[in-house]
Amino acid sequence: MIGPCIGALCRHGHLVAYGFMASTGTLSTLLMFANILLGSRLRGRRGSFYGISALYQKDPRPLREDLPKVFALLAKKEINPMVARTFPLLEARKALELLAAGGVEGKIVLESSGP
Amino acid sequence: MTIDSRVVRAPEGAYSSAAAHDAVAPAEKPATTTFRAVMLTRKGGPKALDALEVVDLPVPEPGPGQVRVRVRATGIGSTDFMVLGGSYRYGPKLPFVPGYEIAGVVDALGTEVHGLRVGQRVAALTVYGGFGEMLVRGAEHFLPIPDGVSDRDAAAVVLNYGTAYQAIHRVAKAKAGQTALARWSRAVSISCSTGLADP
Repeated sequence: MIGPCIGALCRHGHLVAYGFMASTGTLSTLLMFANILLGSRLRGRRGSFYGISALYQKDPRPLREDLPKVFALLAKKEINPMVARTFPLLEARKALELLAAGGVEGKIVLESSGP
Repeated sequence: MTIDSRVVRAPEGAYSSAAAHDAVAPAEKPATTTFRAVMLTRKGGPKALDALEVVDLPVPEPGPGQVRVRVRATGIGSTDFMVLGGSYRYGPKLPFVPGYEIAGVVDALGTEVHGLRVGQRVAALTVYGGFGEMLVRGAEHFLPIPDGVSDRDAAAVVLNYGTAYQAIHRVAKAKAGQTALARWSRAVSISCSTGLADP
C-alpha cells in the first residue's frame, strides 16, 4: 500500500513509513523498502523509514527528550490515548487474543494488582 | 541482570508452600521473594499465544546503574505479535517475559543510580518484560510520569505516541501550516498524529 501513499503526496512531499506490520515476508519487505526509498524518489517525493525501537536501541536520548513532551500533553489533556479495554496483567494472553481478533477501536492496556 | 536471563520456573504450588514455611519462621525470608509473570516459554510462531504461561519468578536485584520497578500498567500492541513470533530483532532469547511498554513504581535502586527515588512513578519502552509484576532495567530507560497522568494512560502512549511524535518531529520535521496525511493502520495512531502535530 506504499504506492498509493506516494501518489497522494504533492511533489517534494515526504513519505514517512514506520514499523514492519504491513509486510508479510522477506520479499515483500524488500519491495516495500524499495518503494519507500527508491519509488518515492523516482516520483519526485522523498521517502523515509522510521522504527522507534531501532532508534532507541542505538540511542535512548531522543525518546528521553520526546516522551516527557508527550506526557506534558497528556497532563494538559491535549491528547487522549483512547484506552478501549483493560485486562489484569496476568491475562495478557486474553488481551492479545482480543487484539488478534480485531475490532478494538483504541488501545488495550494490562493493569497489575500485584505486589 | 535482567529477569529473562535467570529464569527459574517454580512448580505450581511451590509459592504457597514457601508461604506456609514463612508462617513458621517469618524472620528467615522477605515477604515476597517471587513475582508472577506471563512468559513466552518456547518458540512462538502463528500459535505463539499457546506458548504463553503464567509463572513465578525470583524477584531480581538491581545491579549497579539498574532500577527495579513494580509494573502497574503495560500497553498491548501489534508489535507484541512480532516479539512473540520469535524473529523480532530486539527480542531476547527464550524463554522470556514479553511486554513492550510499561508504567510502574520504582521499587529498588542499584548503586550508582541518580535522579530516581523509590516510590516514584516511571514509564519505559521496555521492549520486553512488561508482562511481569516486576522488572529490572538500566536507570536510563525510565522517565518520570507527571502527576495527573494515570499509569494506564502513561503505558498507553509510550510506543504509539512516541512513534507518532518522532515520525512527525524527528523524521518528517513537520512545521505548522504544512498539510499532512496520516494513513495509519489503527484509530489509536490517528488520534496520535492529530494531537501531536501542533506543539
